[in-house]
Amino acid sequence: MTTPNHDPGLFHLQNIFETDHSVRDAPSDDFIQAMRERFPTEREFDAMLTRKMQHRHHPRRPATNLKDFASYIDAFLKAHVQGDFEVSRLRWMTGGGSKIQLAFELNWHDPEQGRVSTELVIRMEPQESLNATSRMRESQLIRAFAKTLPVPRVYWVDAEGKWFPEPSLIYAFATGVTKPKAVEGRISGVGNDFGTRLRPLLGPQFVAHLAAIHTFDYSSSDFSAFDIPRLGTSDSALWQLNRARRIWEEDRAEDLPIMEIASNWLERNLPLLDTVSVLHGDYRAGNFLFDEDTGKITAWLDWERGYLGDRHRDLAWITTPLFGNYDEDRTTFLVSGLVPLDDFYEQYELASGLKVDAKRLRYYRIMNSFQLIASVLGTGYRVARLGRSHQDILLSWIEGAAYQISEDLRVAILEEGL
Amino acid sequence: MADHTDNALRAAIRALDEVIYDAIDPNHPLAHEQTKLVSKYLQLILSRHAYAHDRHQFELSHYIEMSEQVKVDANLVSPAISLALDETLAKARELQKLSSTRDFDLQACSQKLAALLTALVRTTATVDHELRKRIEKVILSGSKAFLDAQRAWFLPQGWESKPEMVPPIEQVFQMNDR
Repeated sequence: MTTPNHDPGLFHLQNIFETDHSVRDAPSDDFIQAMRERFPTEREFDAMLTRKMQHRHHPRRPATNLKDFASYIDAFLKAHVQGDFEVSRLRWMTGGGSKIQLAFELNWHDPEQGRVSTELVIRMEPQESLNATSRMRESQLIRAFAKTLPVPRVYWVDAEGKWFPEPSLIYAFATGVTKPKAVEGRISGVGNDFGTRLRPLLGPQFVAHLAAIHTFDYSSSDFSAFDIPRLGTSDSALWQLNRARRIWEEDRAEDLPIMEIASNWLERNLPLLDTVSVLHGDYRAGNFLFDEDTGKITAWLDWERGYLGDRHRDLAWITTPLFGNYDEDRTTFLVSGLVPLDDFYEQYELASGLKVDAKRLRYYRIMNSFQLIASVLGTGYRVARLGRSHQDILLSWIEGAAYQISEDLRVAILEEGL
Repeated sequence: MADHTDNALRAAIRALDEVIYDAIDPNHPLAHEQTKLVSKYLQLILSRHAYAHDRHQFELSHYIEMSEQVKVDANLVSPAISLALDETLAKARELQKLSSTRDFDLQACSQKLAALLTALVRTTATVDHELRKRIEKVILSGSKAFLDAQRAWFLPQGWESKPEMVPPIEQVFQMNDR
């Protein structure tokens, strides 16, 4: 029996009831520092999450219009381009819920190609994003894979938001589609139906490209914005868990007891790392473009969640039920709508030479569910509440996705055992 | 007085789908995407708002039931949490007895119970293994009905990979009838 003087519940009661909307909407320096100390993670993750919380004090900025963007681009290019240039066809793009994207054409003197017209994309953080991620990391990843995978050429990075209102990346416009034109798209490409003609064309590339990412020699490229987890330790899993726990604590609208159970379970069962791999972080349909006629993947996009760590995180993410669908017979689950689940791991092992460990896969499935719920019900809610993104309606809409994921989480923990 | 809300919601949806969508700048795909989402969200509200009060009552019943199941063990973990649970449960039962309750009050009470259960789970992370397992199992098992209800609520959005596995919204709030 616990005595009142040594009641461990008092601290948690106080902590939970003191952290209300007023704290999360306008966090104090003390609260931010407490989160950093309680949930240590990678340096760059920490920097991005700290920046996010520090910026919550800033007044809400109305949506940036095209005219304003044109002036930001002009100022940026004057500082980064030699000689005269002309910007045309500046236009909005869609493309997910976390970043503002615009396309434009630049007529300029490219030091590598001479006088050219280049189709470009600006990828800018909104005032507050569903994912507080680093444009520097994203640019390093895309540059690293320039000779290995179809990725857009990175031209410039405004890592600190010196020229644009927020950190931005400018890279080449990639051609292609995220889904067959005849199919009605789902949000962010989640659960796209590729049909029987495209599946056998795209599926093998989908697996081969993943294997190329996981076996990439990161020591040959600039990965200075990444921390390298130690082999044989739980660094990798703990950094990712702490990142998710931190955003849940910083952003959530309400308490969900199963999230606490999941957090405790994940900490008790941290797996050790056997190989340091590059991870894409959001490898799925919707994040690659392809040519609909040839079925060839033309670009891998959205590298913002990439990191160095345990490949099983990517593997579990890719096979998340939400991101796939069932084939025409309604019995075979297709990973990302492309590859039958039973074939996927076998093909991956063949292509990569890396083993798939079922136990770690199950661990990361639970972690991914935890992280998705934290993002959707935590950050998505908070960003929309504060009116900080260009996609607040989308961030509100995706609430509905969180409960199937929560049920997966609940069942998975019961199956694994408490 | 007749409630014109459904009528107005349908009119708003038609305005978005049949007038506004086609008038949007064709070079603004984000505006097209968001217009469709606004329309879909209004459709979701149209199909669900009649169940809103049932939903809040259901959630309170859910958290009452869960709290009662862990109450004895809670006292072994933390007398402070146990006391707070007792007090909040008493208020929650009073709310249930009222013939008329505001959704705001139901929500606030549910959230307080959820916060207390969260504090309990956090505290049990460092206590006796069997006690922790018992509390966590009650919460995990009891959460199925809660999650089923949320999945039924959002079913029209189309996230479910096997929608036939989700109970219909007309059934999920039957807990209140017991």
